Amino acid sequence: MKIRFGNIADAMVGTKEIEVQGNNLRQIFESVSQMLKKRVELLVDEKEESVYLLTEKDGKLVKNWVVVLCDGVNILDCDPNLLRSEQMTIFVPVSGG
Amino acid sequence: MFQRHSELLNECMNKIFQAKVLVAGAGGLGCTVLSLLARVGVGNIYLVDGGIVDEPDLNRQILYDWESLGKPKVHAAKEKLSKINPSCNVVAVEKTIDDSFSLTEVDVVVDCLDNFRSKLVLDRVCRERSIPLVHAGVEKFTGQVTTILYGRTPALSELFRGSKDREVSQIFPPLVSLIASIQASEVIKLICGKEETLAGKILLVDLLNNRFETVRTI
Repeated sequence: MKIRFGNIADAMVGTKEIEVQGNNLRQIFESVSQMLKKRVELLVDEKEESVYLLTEKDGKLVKNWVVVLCDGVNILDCDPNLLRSEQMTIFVPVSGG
Repeated sequence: MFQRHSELLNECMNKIFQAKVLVAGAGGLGCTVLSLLARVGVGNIYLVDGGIVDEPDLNRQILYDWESLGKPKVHAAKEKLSKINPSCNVVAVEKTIDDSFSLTEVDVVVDCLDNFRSKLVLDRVCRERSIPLVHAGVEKFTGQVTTILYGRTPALSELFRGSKDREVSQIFPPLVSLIASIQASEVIKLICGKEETLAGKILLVDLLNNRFETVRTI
């Protein structure tokens, strides 16, 4: 699966695109963390209906609300244990006007 | 005043002259959207904002100048728009968009608001009336634009579930003009019935890195 880090998420992880194997969300981000040599994690809060990107910066954990689209489908509507999409896009929507 | 684009938009100009567009927010995005819609020839513009013009607004809110300071934005904007295109009917509504907001009958609504809470109220009322919504947001060097066609694309509340506002006040003025110009273009394309809109897609812009990418939302 190709993972694209869009607006703000790219600055958080330090890369714009990465390709990993697997279809389980936890395993996918374990692979991302290994490849980037830093902790990168997606936290899906189903109760709150929110998704957070967690990354490590200067020894501290940074947490940001993100939108994750798997081939156009919100990850909240996907089974995190069985992700079959070819591409996952992660970005931080902004609200300023 | 439309000679330089009337051939380009051709048979659509009459639709533009008769169109009714509501612009929610008369800040950075709103000023550029309003200016462009008036210049293209949109006949009826409804303008909603509850704020007054403040000095820090002048870096990007192109309808205002030093003489506008302290005035309600909707009145300062209406005055300027009337000078740009006197044949444009501008209805100024001095109001903050909250849960009590109700929508008049318009063809398109443009989201130029500056927080998710108000944006989601706008999304709800547009959804109730099935009125297309052109959304955008900006912060620092980044922004996004999408067009919501209710019943055909995810609503804003579905796309941005669990949305969180961030306390960020810095904004790159050229980004605001760019994103607002894309919103205005979307409005014109919707009025003209063009298929090539950002419906079902979201455009992500990172102007610092000149990165533009379109992501499917359906």
